[in-house]
Order: sequence, then C-alpha cells, then structure tokens
Amino acid sequence: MLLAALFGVVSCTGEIGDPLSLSKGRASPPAGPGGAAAVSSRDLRPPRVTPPALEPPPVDTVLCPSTTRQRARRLSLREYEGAVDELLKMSSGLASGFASDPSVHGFDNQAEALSISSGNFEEFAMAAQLAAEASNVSELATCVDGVAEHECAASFVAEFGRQAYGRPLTGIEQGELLTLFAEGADFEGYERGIRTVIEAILVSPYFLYRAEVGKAQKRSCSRLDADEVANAVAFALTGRRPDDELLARAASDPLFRSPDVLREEASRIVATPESRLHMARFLRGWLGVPDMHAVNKIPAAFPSFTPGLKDDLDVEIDLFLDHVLREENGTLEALLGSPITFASEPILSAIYANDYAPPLTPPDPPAPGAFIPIEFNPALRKGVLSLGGWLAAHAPVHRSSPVDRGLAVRSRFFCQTLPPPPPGAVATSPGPGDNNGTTRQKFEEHAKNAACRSCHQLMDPIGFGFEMMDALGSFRSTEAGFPVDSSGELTNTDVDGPFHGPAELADRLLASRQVRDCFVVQMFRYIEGRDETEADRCEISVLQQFFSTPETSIGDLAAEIIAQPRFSERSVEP
Amino acid sequence: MRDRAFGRRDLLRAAGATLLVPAFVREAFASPESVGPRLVVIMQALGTHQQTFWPDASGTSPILDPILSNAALRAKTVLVKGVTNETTGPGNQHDRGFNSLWTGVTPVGPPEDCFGGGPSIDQQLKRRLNPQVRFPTLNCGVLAAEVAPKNGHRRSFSYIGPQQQMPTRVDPYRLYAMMFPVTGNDSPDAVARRLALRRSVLDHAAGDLAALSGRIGPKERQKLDAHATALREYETRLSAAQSGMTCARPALPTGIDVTREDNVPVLTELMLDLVAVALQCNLTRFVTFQLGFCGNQWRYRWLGIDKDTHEEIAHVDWPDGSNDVAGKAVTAIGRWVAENVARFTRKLDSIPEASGTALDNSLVIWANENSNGVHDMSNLPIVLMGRAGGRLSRSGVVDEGYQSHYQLGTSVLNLMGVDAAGFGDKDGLEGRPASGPLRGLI
Repeated sequence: MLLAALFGVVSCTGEIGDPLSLSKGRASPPAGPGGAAAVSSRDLRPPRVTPPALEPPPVDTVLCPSTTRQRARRLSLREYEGAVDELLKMSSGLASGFASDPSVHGFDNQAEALSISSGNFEEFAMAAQLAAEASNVSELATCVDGVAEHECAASFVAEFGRQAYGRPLTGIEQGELLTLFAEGADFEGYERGIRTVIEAILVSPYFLYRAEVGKAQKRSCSRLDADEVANAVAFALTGRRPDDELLARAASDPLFRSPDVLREEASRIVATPESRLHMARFLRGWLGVPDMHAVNKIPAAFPSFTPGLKDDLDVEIDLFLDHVLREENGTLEALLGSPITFASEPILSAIYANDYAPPLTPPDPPAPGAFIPIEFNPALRKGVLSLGGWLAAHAPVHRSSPVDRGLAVRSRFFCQTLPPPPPGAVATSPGPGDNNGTTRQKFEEHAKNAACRSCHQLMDPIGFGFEMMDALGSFRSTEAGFPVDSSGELTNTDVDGPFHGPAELADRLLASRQVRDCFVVQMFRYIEGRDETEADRCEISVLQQFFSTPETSIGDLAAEIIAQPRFSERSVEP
Repeated sequence: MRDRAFGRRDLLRAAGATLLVPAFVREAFASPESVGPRLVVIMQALGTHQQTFWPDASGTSPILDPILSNAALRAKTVLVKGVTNETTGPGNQHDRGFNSLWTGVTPVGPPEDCFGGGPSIDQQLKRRLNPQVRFPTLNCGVLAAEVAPKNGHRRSFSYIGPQQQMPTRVDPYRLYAMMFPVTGNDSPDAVARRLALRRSVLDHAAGDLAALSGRIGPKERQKLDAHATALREYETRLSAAQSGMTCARPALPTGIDVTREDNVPVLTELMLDLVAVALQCNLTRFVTFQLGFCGNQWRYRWLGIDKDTHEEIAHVDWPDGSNDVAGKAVTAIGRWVAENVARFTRKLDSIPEASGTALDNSLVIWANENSNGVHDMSNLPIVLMGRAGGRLSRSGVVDEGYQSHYQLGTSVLNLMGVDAAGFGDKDGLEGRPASGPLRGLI
C-alpha cells in the first residue's frame, strides 16, 4: 500500500522505473509504531526534547515530493582539493592555506554554508593559476610529432573537461576553451595554451560546483540529467567525481535514473575503498571527531596528551571505523557495540591501561609505531563512544565534561535540539585546581538552580554516566581523592533508565529505535548536504523503516537514500 | 602525511608572478576622505573585567590607559556604557556575541553550529554604499581559524547572508601579496598580454557563472551572485593593482607561523599595520578584525598568564570581581588589546588627509563578544574611536542607562552616512520596530 502510494510521488516525472522495485529483494519491515520521526524542529522556543511520535501517514496521502531545490552545490574544500589532485595527477595540498569552511552538524559539505565570495574568491583564482603553472603539460596533453597542436588541444579539452566537470562538454564549451587555448598559444606557444585551458577549467563554476538543475517536468518540479545524477551519486558515496563506469552507464543506460539501477550502482560503489573512506568521514563528522589535532589538554595536568598521542588517536579512529565498515558489515551494532579497538603503545598506556585491574591482564604492548587489536574490558567499554578519541574530544582542556558528552549523545544520537542558555545565564564552569570535589559534584549545582535545570537535566545525567572516564578517556575510580560516581540516566528517550559507564549506555543506544531513526536523519543531511524539513518526513520515514533491522549496514542505507525517486528530482523555486 | 607540492610561499610567488599589471593602468578612484568614513570593527573574545575597564574619576582605567592617557586619542574616543546584546536564538553567549552583535538578527542553524542570520554591518555597508575600492570589505584577524572542528562557525563574525560566512583572513603574507602584487621583469607588451589572457580566463568563468545562474531559482542564485561580484572585483583589482604601488609598503618579517599562538603579538601588529595601509591607500572601506575566535582558549604566554584563559580565567572571573587572580589576568589581556588599538589608532591619526587625519575620517570600534567572563551580554565594553568624517564630535563616556545592540548598530550605520531608523530585527522596515540610535552619542 505504501509502495502504491509512492507511485503518486513519481508522477512528478512520470517515467521513473518500476516503483515497486523499492522493496525488491528486501524484507519490508512492519511499520514500527514506536518509530520516532527524528525530523528535528528548528523551533527554539520551548525545549522540545521528545520528537513527535511518527504515526505512519495515511497511505493514500503518502507523497515524497521533491524537497531539494535546484541548486549549484559548491565542492567542499576537501572535495575540491581531491578533484584537482585527481585531474592533475598530483598531491597538491592546494587548499591547505584556504580559509576553512564551517561545518554544520559536524559535516563539512553542507550546501548552505559553502560559498564563494569576495572573502575567498582570490584563493580559488590563485590556486587555479598555481595549479596550472605546476601542471605537467607534456604528460597531461601529450602532443606527438606530426599531429597538429590544435588537434592535440581539442582532444585534451574534451577529455580533461569531461573529467573536471563530470560530464561531456558541449560543443560550445569546447569551442570556448579552444579559443582560450589559441589565445595562450599565440602568446607563448602550446604549453601556455594548455595551461590557460587548465586555469580556465579550474576557475569555472562547472568545476567548483556541481549543478543539480535538470529539466523541468512540471512548473514546480525538475528531473536531474543523467550526468547530474551520476555526480550526485558519486559525491554522496565517495566525495569525488563519478568514475568512468558510472559516467558510461549514465550516458548509455536509458533507465539510469531508475531506483533499480541507482541502487545497483550505489551498491557497487559502496563496496569500494574510496566509499568506505567517505563513509568514515561521515561517521567522524557525525561523532564529532573529525580531527584529533584540534583537541587540546592542559599540558601540566595531562603530560601524556602529546602530538604523538593525538596522531595515534586519529589512527585508532580510522582503524576502528574501517574495521566496522569492512569487517563487521558496517552495522550500527558494530559501531556502537564493537568489543575491540586498535591501540598503539602510547594509547595503551595513556588511555586504556587503567581498564585492566586483576584478574584482567592488560594486552601486551605492540612494537613502537604498530597498532594491535585489543579487547575492551567489557564491563567498562563497548563501541565507538568508548574510544579515547571520542571521550577526549568531548571534554575541555582540564576535566571531563558531563555537559559536552551528554549534549553530544542527545543531539547527535537522538537528534534532539536543546534550547540555548536563557538570557542572563552565567557560566559557572568549575575551573581546574579547585580540588574540593568531583566534577560531578560541581555540575550537580545545575540541578539545584531552576534556570539551569530545565536544560541541563537533559544533558548532565547522560554525561554523568561517563564520569569514570577522565578528560582523556582514561578510566578512573577516584577524582581528586573522592570516589567517582558514574551512574547516569537517560530520560525523554525510548530507552529511558539508569546506566553505568559507556558500555551500558551503548547497550541502551543499541536498543533504541530513536537512535536508528536519528542515524538515518544524519546520513540524509550528509548526502543531501542540507537540513531535513517537514516535507522530508515521508521519505525519511521510509528510510527509517528500511534501516530498522540490525543487520542493515550503513552502506546499504546510503544506497537506499540514492535509490529514492526523489534523489533524482529537484523542486523549482517559484 | 602526504607531500605538499605547494606551500604558502608558492602561493605568494604565484601571486607575484602572475598578477602582473601594466604600469599605465591607473585607478581613477576618489581620494579617501571624499568618499565617506571608513569603519574598522575589532572584536575581542571572552569579555572584559568590568571593574578595571571603565574609567574612574581620574578619567582613565587600568585597561584603557594606553588609549586614554594619550590626550589626542582621548579627545577622539567615546565609551558607551549599558549596551546589551539582546539576541536570543541558538548557540550560547560566545556564539551569539560574535554571530549576532553586528548582524542584528537572530542566528540560524542548530545550537552547536549556529551562524549569523543575515548580513553583518560591514556587508550591509558594502551593499548600501557600494564603495569603488579594491577590497570593499576586508575581513581579517589573527588565529581566527585555529578553532576546534565543532566550533567552525566561530571563525568569523562577518556574514554575507544567513549562514554565509565571510572567511577571516589570518595570513599577513597572503594579504600582503594581494595588496601589493609584484610587477615582474616582463616587457610592457608581455605584461599587457598576460593581463589580457588572465582577463579572458576570468571572463570565461563569468560567462559560465551567468549561464549557471540563469538556470536556478532566485534564492540559490544569490550565492552565485556573490561569486560573480567577487569575480568582477578581482578582475577590477587585476587591472587596477597598480594603485597600491603609491603607498609605502610596510616591512614584513619573514617566517612567522600564522597558526602559532605565541606569534599573536607580532601577527596582531602586522595585520593592523596592513589594515592601516589599506585604509590609507584607499584599498578598502569596511574592515572587520578579530582577535582569535569567540570562546577561544588562548594562553597569553607573552603576558605571563599561560593558562587556558577561557576555562581557567574567564569562566572563573566572577562578576563581583572577587577572583583576584582571574581579574588581574583579564585586566592584563584587556590592556594588551588596548595597547594594540592605541598603536593602530595613533598610526591612523598620524596620516594627514585633505581634512584632518585618517582617524578623523574613520570610525574604529573595539567591542567584545561578552561583557565579562561568565557569558554575560549586558553592559558590553564598547569603545568608539575616530570622528567618522566629522559626524562624531563628543568624547568621554556615554552613560544613558540601558541601550540595545540594535541601537549601537543603528548609530554605526548613521555615522557611516546611512540613513537608518534601526538595525537588523529592529530596523523599522516591513512592520518591524525601529530601535533608533544610541542615546547620548550625537
């Protein structure tokens, strides 16, 4: 019935493939009455902490209209640099000196926050010149004796342009670029002509952005061109332009934009190492651990938190996520519940050493520079929220942070939005050095002050459950001579109740439908590059149903988002 | 780590080697003071120490002494008491102190990633006054980019529109290269042809941009419009770059790591020197300058503090002033900023212009994200310097009770020659209330 209703959606384009393919080969789980719509509200007035329960919409009104508008989506700096490097076959570090882009929800690819203005145009323009000057013209645009230079240039323009724009160039575009070639060649010969073309392509909006425009089907609705879809698929799954196989299929398969074909292509790409890397970037952004180098601790208090340890913690996160994605089928179960991680000697001694009290014996330290898989002490740790990197990144420079950790769990895992501090609220954060109690005791002050309590009761009790882990994520049973109390509590969720430490929290999160639903929302944001709106609720609820079974992998979910009819459609602004 | 084929030096060289301009190209711009006053907004983070900021009966204060003990500067300085940033919305007071004070509108985005909800005052002025200079706005600072990933939205307080942040330029070398493009040894003919080639490349991009813009809707097009504007400005700069040559180039020490906090004193001096030159040479009109990002965690080792001044100092500098250690540290930090502001404004005041000095024809504002170290946004420390082209005549302390940041924004617009009844969410337009300007300033 739901699927029949979806047919109504695809009437937007009128010629999508078999809509029933949405369920082909996949058990369609029953509608979960407890499933929460994790569509977060931008409403900031009252603390709306409980997402409205999703009543599956009445079947005859199910519509997943195209909710992403026609747009030009600028490449993120990482995508941009990767694209330049791939084109010019170099490792440039070209964007390393650029003003960095702001992230939203932890993601660096959110379309609204990415722009080119007088604040950064110069950087792109200068980088294009620099890259063009540094290009190896004889390799990129080989011209053997006996072939006319303008013919060499013509084939270079066609091929290089196709790679750069992720689509074949029109005849007019090729003509314009060849005019630039001629102008350069006339000035300083063949090389100058080719460099001029490279610079022009690197500073063209067709390289710096990817168009999601398509052809209007109705007044309010357009269908993306096949090559636009190919680019959207490739960037969603790899952060790169489409590979030759995808572009070839986009050009040759008339059913390319059908859910079946897109799911098939997405499933192929999701299995590649490039896609795993990209999924890991998504997970790092979502988890709030994009880069351990930006995490700092007071050296006097935490002498072990050296640049070398930060490097290692970054590697640990990479290894952990790769293990989850590659060897554990990329399930949320493995991500949140993995019994193992990967440690170097510095990590073992600085982070995990205290975990192994007798009768447990600590793992033998690996050789210098090496990482070994280690088993967590199952009573203390489980999954990604037990990693030293996550715990250290969610704590300030001098102590643990019930607020940071509690807020991260509530906002990133339950997609619940907390209101801002009320006007006049003053920060009375415990400073270091006052060793007159535990961090928990100091933060319990929040519970006594009515103005603070209304919001902090939604963060601190979760964060208190992490108190056994200090500012680095190292286990402790006492703090400043006082015993540590790690009893935490989840409230306003579908898995409410007490817990003790990250391992027990992981169990609760894994039992939560809201967490699964929220994860879907997070991936939707990453792939679409924007916030969800009320209009997305229908599609997101379909995806949430899809992701409701534990064995469904993160990669499967990405492929399913791509297989939604809406993925190839755009709304037309009035 | 992979090899970096290009470093900062290479970018500099590229700029020098390629931004070649014919000597005969001359800007036909008006002289600086005839086009209206310039604005410089300097933002400090983490609040001040109220007890040592405001002048006492002697007319000075421990923090402001570097400014107020100089009679010439004191005569061109106004302090405004009682200004409250009334913004509500996502984010905490660090966020809102930066992303809303100068936009006047409610921020947007999730609390952890909240951005300005509309154009900031520098961009508003650019739009309304459309100055014909190479850098209509200059958005710069020191170490503003060295921010924890989750706080990426704190890198700038300048916005083109909702969520559209203007990046903060933190690298004096790159700024220098932009301001003073190098002429090479090419013949005039080669220079002209190289410039023509570059213009062809940019024209080609502009054509693509126009074609793409034509295919998308008005909201999305706004972003590409900003891109197209930037492209046109850049192209104009290429042709007109020669005008920068008439200014004395400040000396630029080499090899300074622009990401290292211990270099903040020298970077601050350098960047402010470059700003002064940019103003003097009429390269820019509206400047934002930020010392770090809101809620930063500088240690101020050069002042002997060496603590995380966010967690270990500001947040324990109790509003009643009872924490002596924290109060002293915040006072020392404030005084250090005051020294830099004094040095910068003295420099402007030493630049003669057709009428008065560059400082007389400017408005320099030193403001802060918070009023104290514990997230308070009432009674912000607001310092207005310069005479705004003669529009500002008083000095001393404006003490007219409670005033809002909307009033502050309105006054700044008015001083810059914009006829506005209000600012941001209280601009008096489209049925919104009008805040009016600050009481007691004019």
